[in-house]
Amino acid sequence: MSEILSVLHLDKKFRRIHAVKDISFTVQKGNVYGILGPNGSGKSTTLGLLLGTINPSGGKWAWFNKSGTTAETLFRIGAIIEQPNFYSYLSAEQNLKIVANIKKIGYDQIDEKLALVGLLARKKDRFSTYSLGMKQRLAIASAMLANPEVLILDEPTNGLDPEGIIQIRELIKKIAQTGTTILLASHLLDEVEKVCSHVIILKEGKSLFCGRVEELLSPFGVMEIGAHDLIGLTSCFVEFSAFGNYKQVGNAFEIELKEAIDPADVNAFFMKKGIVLTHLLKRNQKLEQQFIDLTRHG
Amino acid sequence: MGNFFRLVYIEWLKNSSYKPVIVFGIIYFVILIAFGLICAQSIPFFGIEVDLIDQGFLEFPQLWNFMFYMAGLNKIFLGMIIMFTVTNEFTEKLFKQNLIDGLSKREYLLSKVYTILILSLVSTLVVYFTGLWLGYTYSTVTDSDSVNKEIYFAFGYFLKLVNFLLFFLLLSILLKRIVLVLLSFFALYVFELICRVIEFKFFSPKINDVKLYNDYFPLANMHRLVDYPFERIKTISQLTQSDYVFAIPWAHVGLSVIYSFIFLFLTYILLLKKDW
Repeated sequence: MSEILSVLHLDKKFRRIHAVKDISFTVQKGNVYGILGPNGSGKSTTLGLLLGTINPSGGKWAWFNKSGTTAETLFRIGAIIEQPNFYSYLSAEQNLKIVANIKKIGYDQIDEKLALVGLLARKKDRFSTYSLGMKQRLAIASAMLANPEVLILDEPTNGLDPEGIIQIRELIKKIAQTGTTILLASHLLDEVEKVCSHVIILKEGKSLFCGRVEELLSPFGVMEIGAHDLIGLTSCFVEFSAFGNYKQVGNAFEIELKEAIDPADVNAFFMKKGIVLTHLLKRNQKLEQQFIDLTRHG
Repeated sequence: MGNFFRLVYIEWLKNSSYKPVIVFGIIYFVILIAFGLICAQSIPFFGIEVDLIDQGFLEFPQLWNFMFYMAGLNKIFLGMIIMFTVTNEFTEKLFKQNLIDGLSKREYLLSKVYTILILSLVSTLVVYFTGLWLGYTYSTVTDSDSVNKEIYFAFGYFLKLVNFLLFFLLLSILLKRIVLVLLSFFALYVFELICRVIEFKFFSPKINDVKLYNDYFPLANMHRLVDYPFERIKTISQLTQSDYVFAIPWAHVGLSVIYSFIFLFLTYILLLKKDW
């Protein structure tokens, strides 16, 4: 597996804000990365730095093993930042012609990419007549125009309606299947969980985690159990070796599992103790929970 | 050379169907030609019919002074074209997207400079050919010596436009808002005017000493590239008994080139240093 991007000690101070603090991570070819972080955690600044629109205060990075960001590296990257930026008085086709000329490629890809995002029929219409979902899809078509090795998407579903969100998500999955490396910045954990194989977690400009989604989640899942006698219930937890950290969620407990376990055994165990469970559920751990734990303590 | 055509073509794609460009472009060139045609008319001036041909507007070689001076008066419309296209790209984050797509900051600036050079050249040529046509129609002298003697004014006019438009480019990128660009341009204009009045009133030793340091301020300097032709109007020159002597204003030409490079340099530094 080859390295698409490596970032080392990246740092950016604006006049008053220290937006990016010593971030390091690497991106391997063919994976879908989620860059997670609450609003203001430095996601967009990091992408701006890596795309050469923002000047760094410190650190270095390499795209495709070549230091920094040059026009040639940008030709191999497709990126949309924050919102779709197009000439509002031009049609989709005219806008893509500008991009094609900037990227020094022919026009033969334009129709194909517009078809990919379902905008071929509207290619002669002015950008200003498009709905937000269509604008976002055009942005993806534009980013994909030169068949980039990496696709960078910054909050691609921001402000979209549910249908638009699903369309974009399907599109990202479709592109990921072709082997394109994708960097997806988002504050929507649900979204990242659905499409990403790897995550990079940022908080207040620092990177807290970089790796596979499964590494972040407890591999054996979590169990939710509840009973009328909550105090009696907790007193038995120490006796059960598979139970890890737990915390109360409403009238039940959420317990991280340290080994594989059958819910029937749990039920039987508490029966023996004379506690009747009102709630018993085994499920995979949610990224959201891990994220909240990490960003709260990290 | 290939990159020149690529950058110019990108500019063409971006701007050729942008409404303000079309509107101001049409206004500009219509006025430009209309100004030339007016020179061949009699116009009422405070109740007196003034025949501009009679007054020597269309005599070679001073025709160039009149034509290029008049043409320079509506250069603000070309400024508008630069201002609208550039501020739009910065407020709509199009410049940022251009960068991300792989257009370097240097290439972006070059594409604007090429646009400015082409606009200025086309404008100069339009005035030049209008002048040639009017001159050969109305001038009493049409020998090539007279025709080409003061051809400097074409060059002065071209330089003036380039200088002016580069200044607008700098302001547009710096301020990003049309209103702010116009206000700051107007503010500088008023500032230079106030300086001029102060210098004239308190520091100029003789009242008819018209050479002022103020002439070397950026806007006034541009103006001096194609000087007022009014003392060359027949009636006025008879009244003041002044003998006009044509001379290329080398100091202003040199300074104009220097100002142009300063504007260009500042724009480039701004593009490089700022976070977009």
